[in-house]
Amino acid sequence: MIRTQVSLDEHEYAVAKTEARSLGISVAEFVRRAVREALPPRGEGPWMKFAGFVETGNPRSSQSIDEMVYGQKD
Amino acid sequence: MAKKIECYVDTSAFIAFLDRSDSFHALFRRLFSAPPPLSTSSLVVAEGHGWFLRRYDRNRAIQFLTFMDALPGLTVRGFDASELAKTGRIVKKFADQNLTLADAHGLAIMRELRIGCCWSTDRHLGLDGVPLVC
Repeated sequence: MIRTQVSLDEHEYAVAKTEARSLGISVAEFVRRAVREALPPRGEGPWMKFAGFVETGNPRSSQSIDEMVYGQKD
Repeated sequence: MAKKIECYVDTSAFIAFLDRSDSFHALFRRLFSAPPPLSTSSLVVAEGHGWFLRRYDRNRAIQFLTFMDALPGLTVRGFDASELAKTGRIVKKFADQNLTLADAHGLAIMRELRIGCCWSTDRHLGLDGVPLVC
């Protein structure tokens, strides 16, 4: 384990502390989890961290691009 | 010598990879995890960026561009007057279809580079008979 220091502004720290408390974990563990989430999975390329980075709730999302971009149904 | 481009990638394949709700997400997650040399159109990049701007916000749209930069082995074909001329001919050839310029540019690139594989969930990209991976 490497020890490091992270500087947060007051608002970020307050929100992180509230979130951590609601999860029953320390602020340090909350930050570790946030970092893990932002990194690509081990053994995969850096671009893989973007896999599924949005969740539209629409299983036909990739088939309705024209509708979203051009406002047309096809 | 540059590696031969194996597959063309359409906007729909990028969105399926990036949106975990999409029914093709698992397939494209697997394909993009070890991508062969790929090609796409600058119009696809514009379309993908526009999709994120409309569906989400400018931050997500910028993340999309960051993803495109990070993807290895991707060749992005520019779109100038000569590309417009080729693309326009394809749009006119398939005048009975609602083909976008991005779709038609993809067909033009596949035809010119003799690419025999297309990552897409959009049937328009199969109009020239290139099999779709979806």
